[in-house]
Amino acid sequence: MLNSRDIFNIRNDLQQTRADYRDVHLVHVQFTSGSNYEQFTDGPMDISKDSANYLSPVFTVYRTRARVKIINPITLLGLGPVITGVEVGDYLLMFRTSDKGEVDKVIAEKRAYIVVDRERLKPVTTVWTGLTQSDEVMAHCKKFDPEFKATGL
Amino acid sequence: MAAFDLFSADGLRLADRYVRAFNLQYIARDPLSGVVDASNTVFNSTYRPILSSGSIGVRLSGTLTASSNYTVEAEQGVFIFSTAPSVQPVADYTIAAYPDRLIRSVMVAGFDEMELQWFRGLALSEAQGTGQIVLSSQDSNNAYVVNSSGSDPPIGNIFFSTSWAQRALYAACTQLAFVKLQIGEYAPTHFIWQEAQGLRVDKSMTVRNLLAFKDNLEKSLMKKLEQAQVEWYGESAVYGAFIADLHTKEFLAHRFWERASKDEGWRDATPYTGYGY
Repeated sequence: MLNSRDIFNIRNDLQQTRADYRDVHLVHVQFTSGSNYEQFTDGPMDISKDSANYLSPVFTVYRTRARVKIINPITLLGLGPVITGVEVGDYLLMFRTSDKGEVDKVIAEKRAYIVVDRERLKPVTTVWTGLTQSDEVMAHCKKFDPEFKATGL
Repeated sequence: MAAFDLFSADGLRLADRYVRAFNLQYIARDPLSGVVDASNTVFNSTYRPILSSGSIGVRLSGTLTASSNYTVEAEQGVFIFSTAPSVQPVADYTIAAYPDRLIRSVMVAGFDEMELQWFRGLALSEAQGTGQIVLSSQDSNNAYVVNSSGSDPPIGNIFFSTSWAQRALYAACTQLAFVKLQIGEYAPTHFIWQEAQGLRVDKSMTVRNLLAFKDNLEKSLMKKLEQAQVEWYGESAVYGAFIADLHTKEFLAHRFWERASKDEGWRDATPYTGYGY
């Protein structure tokens, strides 16, 4: 029987294991429009004007640490019927609980994405997981090719 | 001579040399974890406990923000901002392996260990040179190593506070006390646990490794103890000195007879009274 102290220790273990893993970047894209932007057509007001910045993306990056599990045929076999829709090549990222809001924002925003080891991913779902289903947040991510990519990410 | 203060910077450095109780690590530009939505004010650091006496800096968009803009719960690694940030804050801070209070507690335990290994009637006192002993605990500001008269114990021409051998013995005892403390602390909690088809953490060897380490420490402590004792009692106590074995009752009786026989000249004085005489 585990007591509350054990659960506290396990939570610490999870955090330390996560800290040993690598940086994960959550990239959000916001758009700023210049004076040549026409909202109605979502394009430049004056197309002959030599200006491409009628609409320009601004990237905001949130950096954190997550445990990474890459789904290959072997792990897929061992996974059991836990996550629906998981397939070979998907990533499972285990975040700390305080990152859940940020991960959920990436799901909600159409053009936001996550970068792990130079792979661009889009989270599909977040699930509470860990010993008491409350120690960490698991994001099920699929490969993603975003329309707007931040430099280097 | 000022007595050796365990809780002084010098004392803490000495203990840290052996125990690595501080194990200070400087963390630079750690991205804090929390929702960035201009309404959340609570952010977590990746590492903890944060050393509250270490310098802490928080940056927003690369610019250092004033320390009045946030408070830090050092032990839990939580940063609470007065104004919710709209960009992810990053922090510079120093982490220690243990909080200050526990480090002091280990140092007192180390002193106890030294007195249990070799009882000399020394004490830890909050004051020194006042002729009386006020016993120290981990909550005291000072912990001077004093003798029964409340001053720095003299060892020949030098003192405990200036003797390298005595301080090294104390530090080794602190190390032993620390390992013993860890064994007790880890024994109930360091087990193997595994999530269903997930992460597996195996800490089952921690206590066993510590036990092996403790055995080695105890052996090396004997050498240090010998050095410290030679210094304490003087070299004349070493040369030609031997420690007799414990005598059995039979040995003592025989020895007594032998000595008495020699002293009283029984060989000459005692007539043979055997058969035929």
